[in-house]
Amino acid sequence: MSNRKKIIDLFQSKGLLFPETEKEVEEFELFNTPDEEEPTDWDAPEKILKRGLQNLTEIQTDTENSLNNEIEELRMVARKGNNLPQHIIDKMKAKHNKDDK
Amino acid sequence: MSIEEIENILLVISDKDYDEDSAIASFTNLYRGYSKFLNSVVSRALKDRGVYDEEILNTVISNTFYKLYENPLLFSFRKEAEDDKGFKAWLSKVAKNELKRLFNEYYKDTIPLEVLSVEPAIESDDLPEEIFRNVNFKVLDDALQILSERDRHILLTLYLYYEEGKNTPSDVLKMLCKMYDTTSVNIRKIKERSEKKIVDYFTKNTQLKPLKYVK
Repeated sequence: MSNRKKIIDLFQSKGLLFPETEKEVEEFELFNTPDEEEPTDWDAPEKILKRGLQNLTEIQTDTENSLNNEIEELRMVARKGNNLPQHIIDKMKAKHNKDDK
Repeated sequence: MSIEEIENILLVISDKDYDEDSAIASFTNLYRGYSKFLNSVVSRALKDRGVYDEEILNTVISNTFYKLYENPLLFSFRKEAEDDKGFKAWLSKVAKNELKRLFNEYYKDTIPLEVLSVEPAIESDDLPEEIFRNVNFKVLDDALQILSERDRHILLTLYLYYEEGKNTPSDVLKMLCKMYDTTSVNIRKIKERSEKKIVDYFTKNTQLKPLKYVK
């Protein structure tokens, strides 16, 4: 068996991928406490049936989220006429240095 | 819930054409019994792949329960089942397939497909089975943490689509290229590099007892 298959089997068996067997559910529940927060349709699950199957309209990755946050920070700075925060200046310098190489 | 309770609920739902009110009441019970479990499975999976957002989480859970309502008798407990874990595993599997379907659907119009070359195998010697047997959850989790966030997300997303003996579907590679603004060659390199790091970490952090000390 290849190392790749062994790694994937290991992730699967410890419940780190979607658990698909009783044993994997057990492993998953050992290390992940169920969410206390109520899912969106908690108060009226029948809404799921009225809505039917849904499709995604937009996917935001963490990278996009952090980029959007930075853009928003820059917008706020520009609106207030303030100086740029140091961490943004550092990031821009690092980006310029990387691009120059 | 007990096995009998779940089986009764699924039967009542399957009778929805004759008694819709009871079917909806049973569906509500089942949703309240298992939506928190499914929520934690899906939100963990999404966070691990760096695509956590409320819309995806809610859509996967909503569609999973909708599919259950439409075809409640697709699931049945095995004879030896002692508790509801088999049902949880089935829900999780439906949610996994649903997540993959939603990703494919979302990206199919935005990513042109092309034929991709065969993936190379991991460039490392096969490790003994014992090393993998000795890896516990902590070592596994720590190994993941040594990867950068992006590499971890890419690796776990590729594993979501892993099928033995098959290459990663080209549309999945394209999807990752779009998500991380990189090329398919880089995605493959990231995967190989990450797997090598994990294998090295296992080797260094898994204690194997020499046979002469084993009683």
